[in-house]
Amino acid sequence: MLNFKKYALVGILLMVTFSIVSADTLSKNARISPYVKVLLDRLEERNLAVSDYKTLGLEKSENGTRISLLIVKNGTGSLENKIRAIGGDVGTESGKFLTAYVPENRVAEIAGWTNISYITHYLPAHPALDVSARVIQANWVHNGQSPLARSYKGKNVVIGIVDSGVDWSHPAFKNPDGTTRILYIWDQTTSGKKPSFFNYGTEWNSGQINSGSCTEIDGPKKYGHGTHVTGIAAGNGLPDEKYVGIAPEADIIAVKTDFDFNHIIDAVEYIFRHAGVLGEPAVVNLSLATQQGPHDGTSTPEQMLASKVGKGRIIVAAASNEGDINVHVSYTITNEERATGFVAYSNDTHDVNLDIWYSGGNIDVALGGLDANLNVIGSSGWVSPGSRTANQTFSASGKTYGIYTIDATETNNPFNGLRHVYIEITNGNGSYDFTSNAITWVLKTRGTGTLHAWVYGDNGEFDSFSGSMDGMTFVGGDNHYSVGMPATSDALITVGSFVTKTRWTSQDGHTYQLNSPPSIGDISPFSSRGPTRDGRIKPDIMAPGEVIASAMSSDANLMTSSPQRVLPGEKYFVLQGTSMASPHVAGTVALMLEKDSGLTPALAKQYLTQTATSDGYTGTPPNNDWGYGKVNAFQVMSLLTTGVGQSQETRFPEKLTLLEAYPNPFSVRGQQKLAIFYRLPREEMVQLRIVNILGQTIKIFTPGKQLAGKHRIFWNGRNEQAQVVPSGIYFYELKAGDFHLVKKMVLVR
Amino acid sequence: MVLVFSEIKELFMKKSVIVGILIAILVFSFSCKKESTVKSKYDPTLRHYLESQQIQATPEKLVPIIGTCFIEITDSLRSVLEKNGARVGTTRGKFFTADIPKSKINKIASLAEVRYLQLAPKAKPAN
Repeated sequence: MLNFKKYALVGILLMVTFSIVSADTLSKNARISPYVKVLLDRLEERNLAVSDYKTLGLEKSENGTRISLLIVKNGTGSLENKIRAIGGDVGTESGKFLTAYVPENRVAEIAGWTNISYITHYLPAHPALDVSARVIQANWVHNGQSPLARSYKGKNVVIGIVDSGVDWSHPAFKNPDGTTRILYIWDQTTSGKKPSFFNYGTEWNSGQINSGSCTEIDGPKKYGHGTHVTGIAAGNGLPDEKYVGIAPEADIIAVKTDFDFNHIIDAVEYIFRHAGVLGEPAVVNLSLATQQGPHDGTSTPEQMLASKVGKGRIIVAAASNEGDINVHVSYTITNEERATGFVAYSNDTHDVNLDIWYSGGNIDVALGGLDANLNVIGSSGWVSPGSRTANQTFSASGKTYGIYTIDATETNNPFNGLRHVYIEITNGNGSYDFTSNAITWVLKTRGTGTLHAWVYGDNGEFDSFSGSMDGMTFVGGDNHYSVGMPATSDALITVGSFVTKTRWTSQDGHTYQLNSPPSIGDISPFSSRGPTRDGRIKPDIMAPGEVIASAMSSDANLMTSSPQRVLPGEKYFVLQGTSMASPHVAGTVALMLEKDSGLTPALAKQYLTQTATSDGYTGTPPNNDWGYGKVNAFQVMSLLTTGVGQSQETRFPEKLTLLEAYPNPFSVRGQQKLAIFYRLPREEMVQLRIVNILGQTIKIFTPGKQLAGKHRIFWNGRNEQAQVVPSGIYFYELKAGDFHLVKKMVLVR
Repeated sequence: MVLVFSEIKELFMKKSVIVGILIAILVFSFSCKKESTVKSKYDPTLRHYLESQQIQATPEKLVPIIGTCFIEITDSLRSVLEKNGARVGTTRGKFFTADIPKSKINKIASLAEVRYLQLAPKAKPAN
């Protein structure tokens, strides 16, 4: 009996001891973030490549591997000596936080220290195109953030750039050993050693580039546009790794073009052929567009480009920059007359052109003119379907304003069966003033049909006036249907632009900002809007395009022409446009092709749009301003890796929806605020709570009962005591009725 | 009624003249139709471009073209296009890209295999 009691006592003691140890282990485990756990697992399995060490913030030494940690303490007492005693090194210790490198086999021990509340792993900072690449989380892909099995940087994938050229001497396009990352340059604008596939231009290979014998330049006329675009898609950020592009280890093939579409098509063919010889997948970026064409994907350039894409052959195109211009007009007439005013802005522009397309009926077209007081000063004769009038002077009261041609001969376009009217007005090589200073041109129509018309040339726009004037009924122009060619093709991935930055510090030390700066996160005003003429949603996706810091061509004379745009160090400068948005997606596609070299354009588009993020600015996607939302490189790579996107954010309006906060990460500097958007399916009591990684409530917003629909709350990065909270990971938790949703964000002071 | 030789000769000459005139009209009509058929293969921008004074003055200037044929473009058809003056770039199905001297465009358009010629649109950088 005594023995039994003894055994029972020992048993109880053992159980208590086991419980304490288990509790201690559980407690320790709870203090270690999932990031650290995954990393320790990977280290234990020894499945890390040498290159992963740097990107994951690991340090290899004689005594083993050390991990970079962010440690949160219970108090403010220093842990520096204790960390050193176990073979670690403390970086920064501030208040409750410290950063340190510690041996991998001592992490669990540290987690057991009583004055430790949490241990997490922080990835080394890789400033990537300083803001924009982080906004689309490309740096997380570069770092191989979980659930990605490794880092992706576009290795063994060709990125083709068809543009104004490239500054091949720029360090962003060189390997660490100083050799070039550019495999070939084809300069279509000069005569020299022709490429084997084509009978014109000059081809340079990497050997010639390395030896310095290449004479191709990017600039000054096109201000280094191609170099900037290449830097976004594929630059590695050198010399100081400050502006890392989206696919910084991709192979580069650049074609300098004159922007004629037959040559652009040849350029794409050239890139894909070289990629085929190399056995690499390829993505081609086209940061170029025109408003000429039927805007339905049937133009011959679009058909030819569509025939080139396929498995491992993908083309990404800029949507164009006419989102803030009335470049389009559309209306229906039924045995009546309608008119639309349009203007040419600059006499530097040689001509202004109109393309009119309609599918049925008969529409006669004429050209009219209004003076500065909007009085009619003249009109051409009517031109009926099947006929034309060419090279006529438009004169009134003894003054000539321009030379015009109206061609309505194409009554059955061979590719879409539409009726097409082409109008051109020239200033007679500068002999006449055809600008808005002298005349407002009028497109006059009569008959029956529904037409779409676009104005193009360098500097033309439809007037927005709608109503009756001078006996004519006017219809105003708009910015819809302004996605240009070739971006209206379904076979291409079309990219619009949103804002990620409006201020920058120039090389002169001054801070500059855009005039009337748009809101960070909102659509760029210039970003062209859909749909296509045949009603398809375009653009497909949005990416950062305003303003973007990227590589500067040394041939572009920017220090003379736009020194305020040049960044410190004079190797990078800022530009904006859908030209800048497109290479963010092209670079992302290169990362995807590194993961899956057989990816088709249709699947790439599906994955990109499926993982695109939405917020209060995008509205409910898809729509014709934002397409399917904002590209997210990390989400799409996660989807490719696991088959499941990390953000299973609902787009179903019948459910409570907590959207991605913006910007994320966000900085409290410059009075920046974090916008948190959510949608309520019905009227609910709402509470939003900001929580730190310890689960402590930092700030509570109680807007009370809110109606169904979209709502927004701003957080300025301060706690309930109005103090700025420390840098780190935070969660925002939305409670509405019986539902609650949580998302993560990062704050940087 | 007996016709003297001179009258017969005069009548025959009149007939010849009439037939000659008819043949001339026929040939002229045919050539006009051919010219019209050729021009109907031009898109409106190409037609207008070819009429411009600047391009008229430089007949050897290369014109950027995207062309369409009635049939798939084989190596032999590509050779035909090149022999007729086109510097062919890419061929894909029934489409081809080319730079063609202005003076040779009519000749290319008159080929039975050629369906449509377009002045290649010019893009601009999207920024």
